[in-house]
Amino acid sequence: MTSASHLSRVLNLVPYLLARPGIRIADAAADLGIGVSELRDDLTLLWMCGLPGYGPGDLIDIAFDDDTVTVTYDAGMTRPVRLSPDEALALVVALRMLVDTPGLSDREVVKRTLDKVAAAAGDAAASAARVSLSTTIDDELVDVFSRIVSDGKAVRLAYYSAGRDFSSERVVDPIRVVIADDHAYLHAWCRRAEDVRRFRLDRIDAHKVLDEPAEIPPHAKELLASPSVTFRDTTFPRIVLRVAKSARWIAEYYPCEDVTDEPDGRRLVTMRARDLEWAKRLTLSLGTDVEALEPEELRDMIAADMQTVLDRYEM
Amino acid sequence: MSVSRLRTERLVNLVICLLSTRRFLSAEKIAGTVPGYRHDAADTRAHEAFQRKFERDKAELRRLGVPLETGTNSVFDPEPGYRIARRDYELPDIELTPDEAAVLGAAARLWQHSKLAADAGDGLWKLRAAGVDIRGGDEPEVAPVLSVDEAFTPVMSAVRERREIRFGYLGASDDASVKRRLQPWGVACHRGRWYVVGWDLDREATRCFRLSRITGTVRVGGRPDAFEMPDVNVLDYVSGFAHDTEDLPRRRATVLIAPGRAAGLRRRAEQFEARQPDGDRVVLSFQHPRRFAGLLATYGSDVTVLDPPELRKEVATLLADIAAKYREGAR
Repeated sequence: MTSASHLSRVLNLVPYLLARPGIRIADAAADLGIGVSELRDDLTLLWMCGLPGYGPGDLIDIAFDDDTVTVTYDAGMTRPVRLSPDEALALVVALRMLVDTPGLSDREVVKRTLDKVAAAAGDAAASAARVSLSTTIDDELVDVFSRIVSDGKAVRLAYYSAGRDFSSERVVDPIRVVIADDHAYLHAWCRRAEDVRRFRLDRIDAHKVLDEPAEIPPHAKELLASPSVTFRDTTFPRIVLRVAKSARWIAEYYPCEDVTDEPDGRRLVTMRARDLEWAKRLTLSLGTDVEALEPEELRDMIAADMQTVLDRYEM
Repeated sequence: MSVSRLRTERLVNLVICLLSTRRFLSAEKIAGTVPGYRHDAADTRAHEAFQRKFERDKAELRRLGVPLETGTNSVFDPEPGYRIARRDYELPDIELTPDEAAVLGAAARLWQHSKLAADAGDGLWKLRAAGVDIRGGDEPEVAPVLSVDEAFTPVMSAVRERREIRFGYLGASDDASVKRRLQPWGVACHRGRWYVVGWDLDREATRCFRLSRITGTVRVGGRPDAFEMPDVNVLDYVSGFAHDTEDLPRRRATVLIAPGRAAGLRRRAEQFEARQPDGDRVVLSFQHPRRFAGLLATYGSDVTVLDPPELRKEVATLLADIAAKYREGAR
């Protein structure tokens, strides 16, 4: 925790305790996300603070025993500090995002919460009006899959994998629907891969809810929290692409091992490809904006493929 | 006791002191009162050290949202001083039902970005101190993930204070990062990407910048309240910028897809004709011939355009241009 957060914690600790006389120290520490000994340090610090004069009747007085704590004199620190503009912005924008999230069962509750927090924040929340959010996500799909998640049933999916350019069927145990970067995903345990997988909802071509409960292995959620290893796996083939200005975004989109800017504005991008078929499709999808430089095998594949198709166009 | 602990103690005492006074207290009076500031004012170096310390402390309190007022007590006592008005300092009453508190807790966890996640956490703590009980609660069945670029926080602080910003920007077609000066009006998230819209002081026009293409740090400068906010819908501006709105009629194309290949195209198919040994004749609809040709080229020799002739030519030309890069000696 930074020192700014530490000051905020200590300043608001007295009102927090005033609102909860006799609270267990362990509960308060858990609310703060700190250890019991850290909280005791904060309480000792507050003991040294108070009104000018700093005599026995001026200092903050806190009674604590082994388990519980009660403020007996607050030195005028009865309420927490108002939300700062940054804090108000972070909370109000997050709540607005939640209001707009499709598939949520309790939108009215979110709206009420947003109104109350915005009212309490007052002027500090004014700048939140200068942040606009929009989404193009298909509400209906999200509704369907979030209902499947809450029903806790396994589901059979026909899924199109863009990476492999291949549609296949599999049975998955849904964990939750996640919305990120303007796409909705189903996070699920894939029984075929015996691993967690993220399925983009708009690439699920068909689904059938099965009459059996979803069985999610205990470690599945941990696996989801760890970053994806694809594109970093050093056993995958390493490719080097030269991309023109208009395709430079691929260096931002895919995790790269190396990006070098050339004097003419083009970029040399080194990354891992799932396989050379994938690399060929990526290269071709960028048309004349990109040239595959390495490995030689990839160049040969593209050259041969272009020859085949151009013969067909009689060119 | 560590330096940061001493500082926290000093700042808590400063807040209590300024909350308890109706009169503006001069820096000198504060130095003589609040522990941690006492020094010999006749000692120049000690006095300068105090002044620096006091400046830093004031900035820190303002950052936390503590409304530090400055003013003078009367014409007979013209020395400027400080106080904190209780009504401006205290968070107003707020009561949340348990389900509302759970929603707030879930909202605060949406941020993936460390600075905003920390801001949300600090805000949550103040609401807890106001008596709201926010427990962990269940993960909602749908979880949006909010991530923003580094530039978000400085840009929004400039928007709030209506100050100008300077930054390096590497546009999609720029060779190198270019210095820009902007009066920012607001930010918008469109298709998962963040943009700032404002008045470009060098181009003298309304401009839109993608936050992820800002290079280095954003400098907030100039005086506050430097410009008026025009009545512009930032999101409309961004969506106009992000898309060409050219509206072409939908047309149909027939392509030959090699057996079992190009699944990505098959799922867009409007119609399949009877299978033949060389593959499937598939009908697809498209709007922009050039963009559609780009999509078809992705599949290389697995896809051949049969009709219409213009599209056939478009694809053949594109493929020939690609092929030229891979000819012997082309490198």
